[in-house]
Amino acid sequence: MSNSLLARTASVADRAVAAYAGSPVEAASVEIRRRLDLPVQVAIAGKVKVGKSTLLNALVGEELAPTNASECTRIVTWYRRAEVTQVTAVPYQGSPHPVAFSRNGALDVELGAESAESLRWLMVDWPTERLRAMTLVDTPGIASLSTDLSQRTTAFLDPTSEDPGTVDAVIYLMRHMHTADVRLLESFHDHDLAQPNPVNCIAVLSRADEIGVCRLDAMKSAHAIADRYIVQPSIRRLVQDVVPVAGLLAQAAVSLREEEFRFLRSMAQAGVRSNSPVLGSVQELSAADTEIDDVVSASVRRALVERFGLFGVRWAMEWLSRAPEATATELAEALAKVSGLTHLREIVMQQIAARSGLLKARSAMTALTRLAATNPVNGLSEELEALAAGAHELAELRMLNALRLGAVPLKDDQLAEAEQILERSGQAAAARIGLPPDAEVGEVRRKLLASLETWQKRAENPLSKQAVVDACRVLIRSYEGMLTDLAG
Amino acid sequence: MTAPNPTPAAAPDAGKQRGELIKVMAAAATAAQNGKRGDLVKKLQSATARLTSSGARVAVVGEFKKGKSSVVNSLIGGAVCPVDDDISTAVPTVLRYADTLSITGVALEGEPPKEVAKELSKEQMGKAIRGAGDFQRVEIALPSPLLKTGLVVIDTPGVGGLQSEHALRTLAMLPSVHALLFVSDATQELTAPEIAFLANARRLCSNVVCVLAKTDIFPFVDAVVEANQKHLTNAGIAAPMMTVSCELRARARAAKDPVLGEASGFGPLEAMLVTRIAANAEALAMRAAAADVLSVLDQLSKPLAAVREALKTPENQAELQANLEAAKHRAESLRAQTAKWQMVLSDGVMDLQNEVDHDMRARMRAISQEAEASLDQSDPVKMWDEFGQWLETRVVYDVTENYVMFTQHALALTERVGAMFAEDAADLGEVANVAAPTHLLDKVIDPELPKAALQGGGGSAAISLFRNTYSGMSMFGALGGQGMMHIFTGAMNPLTLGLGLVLGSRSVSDEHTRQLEARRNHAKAAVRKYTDEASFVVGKDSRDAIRTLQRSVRDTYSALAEELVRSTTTAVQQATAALQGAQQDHQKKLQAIDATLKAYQTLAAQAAKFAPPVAKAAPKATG
Repeated sequence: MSNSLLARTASVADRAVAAYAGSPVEAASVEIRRRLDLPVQVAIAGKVKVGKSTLLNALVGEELAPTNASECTRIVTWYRRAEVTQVTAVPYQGSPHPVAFSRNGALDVELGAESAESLRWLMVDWPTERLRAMTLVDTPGIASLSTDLSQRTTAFLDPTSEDPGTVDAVIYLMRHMHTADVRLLESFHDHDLAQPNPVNCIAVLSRADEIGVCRLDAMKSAHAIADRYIVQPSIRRLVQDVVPVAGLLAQAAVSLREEEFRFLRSMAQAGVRSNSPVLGSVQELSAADTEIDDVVSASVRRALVERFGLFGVRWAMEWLSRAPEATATELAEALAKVSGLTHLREIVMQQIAARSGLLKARSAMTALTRLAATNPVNGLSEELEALAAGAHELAELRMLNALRLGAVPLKDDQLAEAEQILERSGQAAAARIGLPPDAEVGEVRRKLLASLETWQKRAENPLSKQAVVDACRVLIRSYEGMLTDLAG
Repeated sequence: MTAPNPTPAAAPDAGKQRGELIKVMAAAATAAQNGKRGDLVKKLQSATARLTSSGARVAVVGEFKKGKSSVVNSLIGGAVCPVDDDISTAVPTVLRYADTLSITGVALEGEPPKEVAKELSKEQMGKAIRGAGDFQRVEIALPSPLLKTGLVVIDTPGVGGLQSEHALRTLAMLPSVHALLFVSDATQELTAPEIAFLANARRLCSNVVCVLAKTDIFPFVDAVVEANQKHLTNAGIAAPMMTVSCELRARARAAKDPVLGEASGFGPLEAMLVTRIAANAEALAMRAAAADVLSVLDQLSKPLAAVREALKTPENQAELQANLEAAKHRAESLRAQTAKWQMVLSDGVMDLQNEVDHDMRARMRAISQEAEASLDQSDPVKMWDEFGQWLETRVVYDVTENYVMFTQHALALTERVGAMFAEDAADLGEVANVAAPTHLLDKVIDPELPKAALQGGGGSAAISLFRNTYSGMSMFGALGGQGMMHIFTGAMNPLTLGLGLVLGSRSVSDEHTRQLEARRNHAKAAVRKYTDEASFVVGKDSRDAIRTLQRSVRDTYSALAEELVRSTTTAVQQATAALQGAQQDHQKKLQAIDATLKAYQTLAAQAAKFAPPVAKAAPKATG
């Protein structure tokens, strides 16, 4: 279904390109059309030093973006999949041109005479499968002390600003919910197609291991906080989900080196456990005269804690003591899981990659609507309106928002069912109604029909309020669509 | 606090020194009693009370979830303040020294303090501190070695995550604290809102220390420290930075491990609190008390000296009499409405009032204009929530600035009045000491202000400024129609002060109608009503504060003038009376007087030890 909306949007975009041929906005319309064929574009945003670049590296599975204890991302940087490795500087004035770079761990781009301020962004082409499904964008932090950087990100993410970066979705990192966070989230949500809109935003409670001061149960604590956040209406109306992630550990997990694994294992074999004095603090771990100096030297331990964090090392000790035979790959998997990365990847796949068609179509429709408003051409606005009105996916989005804003007086269980159906728009019918993916077709159909009937009855009930009836209509169409797909 | 005198390591024997001074004060009070000067006895009594209740107040402040309570616990050496990954401190906790532990929950304004528990019941206290009880403040007295040096530690709720008026209240109590520990964590650079808060705080409190906690879990502390130092320098904020680890401190205590203890970084922080903050506060309090003693002794001596003079050289009686009368007149003119210091005071108060009013009005007008300009370009319906937040944050920010201005000007005014009084009183003798009006502002910015501030009302007028402002704030909820998102109204972030940035993107759709116009007018009216109300409430409170200030300054110096009048009158009467007695008694009288004067001198010498001369801008050389 998503694809059909994408296809319909693409044909409208094709006509727009034709209509604008020769006009000053021809390039803009071509760009809008072209983006529909590209992977979905996802920005990683958040306050300064929240771990955006680290998380990007973890998602890409390689150490690409430079990370540092001090504020370091100063330019919006795109990471997209390509056959050939290349870094391109895109200045505000002048044409894009390749720049030299070296790689020592992270990428080191040599800007030469150009200042970071003169660049609109950097484009990094990198041959990796991880970027096939989506292009990632690293952004400078907001609430940064360099107001410039902060404002650039705000402008970049705001679809209605002068210079929008045209991203389709956002992974928003935060340590605790702050005003500045909410403000940025709000500015990202567009105001035309589907008012404040959680569909394209996932929040990450980042540096989650530090929230629980690196105790062994730190992640549990972070999960509890994330769960509390997501049920708050003010947050729910802005984001789809809140996922705790220990970014540093996630990055180390996906790039775990054999040598590091051996060091960790030796430490565990020497009897180091999470509560050993040597793991008491960074200071003690990197102090020179401990009993395990001959097993793993102080400088190596220091390097380990810099890579994995104190929580990572502690957790690895416990895990390795229980799985002495484990391999490096198994440890890497376990670390990725405990860091929250595995879960985040699943969510990103479900919520962003799996509905990329819908997200891209939305972005394109927003951009085309803006174009049509400032440069009217015959029939384009009407066509866009018809497209928006006819797209059931968008109706689902709007209804989801209404539900989350508490505008529809449904009972709790009905609300939960409706939210799940709408939230998982674009996914397989079984997933949408909460059945396992390998559920029998007959069972899926039975359940769909049963639900359809309940919602139809609810819609026909003369006592139902108008808002409820509207919601029922959307859901009825969703169920009907799923049934049709099942038959096809 | 920047007194140039090298404070002796006052901490360990502070109690002893204080005890000595109190003894001297008692002796002086007895002398005043014998001299039948009830007014001076009273003066000494209140000075003693001030001294015994003095202490160095240290506020621990920071954004929420930065580990403030952990730092407090580490300082006092026990897990007293509850620490949690998620839940934050909701009400301020005041910790001071006592030989036995007691925890008091202070309930709503007006009610007598309610005792929560004598025993350390963690749940009860935890509940109270998290704001679950009906308490506005929790007071804990406990036997902690650090607190024994006279430090009073105040753990505050986080600045950023709560309602913006919290930040304001925290700032409001700063003029009365001796030091501010700003807690941030070592895992992250200071952010723009933190720097903005620090800049304001530094203007209100001269000892601001940045404490970076959690060094035990982060390997790159040095880089963060370096970056922070740069940020502070760029913002022109003078504040030392210290890195600490509460975790290491706790373990060092448990294991009695000095190496861990040193790694925790608490050593230098405590040393600074004790040798600089506590000792300085103690020295200041002692100096003020000693100055009072000297002033009392001086006034007691004066009539005696006059009598002595009369007895010794009866032939100069006329001249002496004339001198004494002249002194009496001068003292009387000091007391009069037309005294120069009275002029300085009443002019100053008027100016202060005008300045504060004008500043507030100008600020509110600027807000109004900015708001209206923005409303003209957007649809109020679409942005009302953000708009409300912006307005609220902005008003709070401006009220804070207004308050900072008021405090600074008020302080300057009391100093001017003091200097003028001292100048006029200079030829009356050794009264230069009166020019140290350290406790004058106390009536307005009460030393117990933290209490009042934290209670959100009560005692002092200056603070009701904020409580009432807050009530003005809550009114906005009604104006807004929909509830404001109170949880997220945040720190005073300069980034958010530009309305354009917040709302600039809300474009108006093509609906262009009278309805939109009507909505805009509605919104503008609401904004005007809100800023008017804020102006009115703050204006009324600042007037009250200024009136209280005026009264307290006037009363203090009038009382002083009254004392001087009494001293000079007594001198005239006694000198005259002395000569009327039989000639043969003169010698005996002289001896008695000499003995008394000698006793006074001894006392004065003892008191003077605690009030070493300060090179501070002495108003005028005594004539």
